[in-house]
Amino acid sequence: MNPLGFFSELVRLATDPLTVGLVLVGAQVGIVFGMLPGLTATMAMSLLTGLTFSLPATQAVAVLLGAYVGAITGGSRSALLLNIPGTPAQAAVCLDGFPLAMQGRAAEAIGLAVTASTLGTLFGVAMLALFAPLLGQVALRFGTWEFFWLAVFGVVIAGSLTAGGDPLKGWIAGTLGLLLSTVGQDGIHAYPRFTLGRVELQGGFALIPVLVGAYGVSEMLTVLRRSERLVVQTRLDRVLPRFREVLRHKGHIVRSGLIGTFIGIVPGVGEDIASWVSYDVARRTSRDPGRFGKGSVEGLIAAETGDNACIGGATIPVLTLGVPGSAPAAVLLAALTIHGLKPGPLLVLQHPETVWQVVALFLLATLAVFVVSLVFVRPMVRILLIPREALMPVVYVLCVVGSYAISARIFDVWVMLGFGILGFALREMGYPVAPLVLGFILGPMADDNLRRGLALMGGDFTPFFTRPISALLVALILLTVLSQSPLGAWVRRRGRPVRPAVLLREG
Amino acid sequence: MGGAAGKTVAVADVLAGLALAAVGAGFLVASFRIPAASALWHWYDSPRLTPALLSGALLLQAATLLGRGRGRLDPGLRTRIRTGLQKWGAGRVLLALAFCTGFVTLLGRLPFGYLVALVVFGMTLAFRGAGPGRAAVLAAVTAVAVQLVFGRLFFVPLP
Repeated sequence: MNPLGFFSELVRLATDPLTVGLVLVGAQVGIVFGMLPGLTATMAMSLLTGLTFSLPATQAVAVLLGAYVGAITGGSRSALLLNIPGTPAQAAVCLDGFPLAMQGRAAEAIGLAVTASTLGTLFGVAMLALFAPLLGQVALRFGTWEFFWLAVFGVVIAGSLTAGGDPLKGWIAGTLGLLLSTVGQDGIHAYPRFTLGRVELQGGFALIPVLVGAYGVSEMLTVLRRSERLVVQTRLDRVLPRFREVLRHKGHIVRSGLIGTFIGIVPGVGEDIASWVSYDVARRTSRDPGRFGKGSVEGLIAAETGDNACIGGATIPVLTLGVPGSAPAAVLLAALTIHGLKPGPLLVLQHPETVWQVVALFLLATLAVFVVSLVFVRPMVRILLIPREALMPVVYVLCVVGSYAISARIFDVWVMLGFGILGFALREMGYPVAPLVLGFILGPMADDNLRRGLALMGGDFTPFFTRPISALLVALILLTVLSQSPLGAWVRRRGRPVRPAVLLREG
Repeated sequence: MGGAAGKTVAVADVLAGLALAAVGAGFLVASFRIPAASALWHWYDSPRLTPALLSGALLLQAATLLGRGRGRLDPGLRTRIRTGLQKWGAGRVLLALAFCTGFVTLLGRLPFGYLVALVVFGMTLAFRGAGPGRAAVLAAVTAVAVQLVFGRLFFVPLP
């Protein structure tokens, strides 16, 4: 692929007012969808695919990419300001973003989140441009055994990271999420499990009502339970972070960018795992891991960079293999096909200009989202000045609309309420909600791949432990679990140097 | 952890352990009703395998919680739970749940716009988020905005 082709496409598209205008419209719609609990990037893109059907392919893709980047970036708004992730990808952003907002640093947190998102997307797009065919081949080495461990790994790290000093509670929430995801027809034989004979449960619990209930309704109940009024005064002196400050976190940005891109490439995994793994690695490599979960800038940057880098990553298999890396990427694949472009190995060889067009449109979309996001920061942080008792009823209405919108069933609204009560009960007893939701998302992946892996080998478990990538994932899971167990604490105590005071006393 | 805080944790652990054990046991029993092998599947790709393994894991975790909280409960537990619930805000939670459940129950029975206005007005007033005038304005604006933005602009189906 010739780099000159990319620059000529970029200049052509950036100087076309219609294309730029459409990218801006897509970005704005995406940000609004991302912000509203229950409305997702996938939903925004599905809606816009229909609305842009009559446009030429390039302009339709411009709108869709604007919406994709916008929704993933916009989801951090409600995570930062209300502790409710706009999309599943932002659950990790809540951990440090909301505490920062509660410390009166909401504007700064939004500025950091937007900057990290932009850098993450640019990183993913750069990887898309430079290594698309090569990375696509590496991702294909992931087999059913690795997908199973990847799902387990996601739940284990989310459990460890979110439960404070008690990882058992995080793992319990994760197991509960995995178990609840088994309700409904199984993915291999379509056998109805735990449906109690109800038709509505044949398809299991839908993800959006679960997400909206566990985060939105439980947050509303938590806020309304308290009788004391909470109003946060936010400093509005500076929104964009200083270049020096961004540079200080270059290690986390590069690491999270690489992690996000690679996880994006792996088919079917997506932005949520990318953000959790990035957050976990940032905490492990941080000089101040104690701040994580209490308003750490490093944690916020890592999670935001990771989930946005995933966008470029998820597009790599779409273009090179015709396989989507995430749910929104699947809609993008469908839209490209509708418009007569046939993603797959032949696209890169026969129509390299299409790949360059997509990369150029991604760049434009990233810049558009950056600009649109920053324009509305100041009015947005005023949300924190509204008494929560007045804000929460409106949030509840949005939760109901978001849950109902998926398939126009009142049953989904009841599911949302049920998971809201469950999430509230868990939170009140000190159990984190994030592993519950992540377990629910990754449950089908773990279930299908465990059984498929066993079926392929006639019931033999060996490949789950002997394939190189599987073995690496098993080692990481064991390391995470053992490091948080009493054994890990004992090893840490043994390895800790003796304090000088003790030495003096003994000496 | 000592004193009252330690006992509260112990109570929470025991209650959560019992609830989780019940959930785990329920799922385990239900999963064993799924055939382990049939003409379509072997034991290793049976739809029973994953839920049975997960229920077992949940039971183990619940047992760990119960073991952790055991022996730290005091005899005055019932009185402490009652006082604790009052302090915790059980009344406000029940009120919020009544509004939430009422809203969902009435979906499809009343026009959605009116229902939204009614719930937002009632909840804002009940939780003293604003006075009657402001609550009414907030309710009306929310009802109209939801209909316009979701129904007209984004074509999202409304109940």
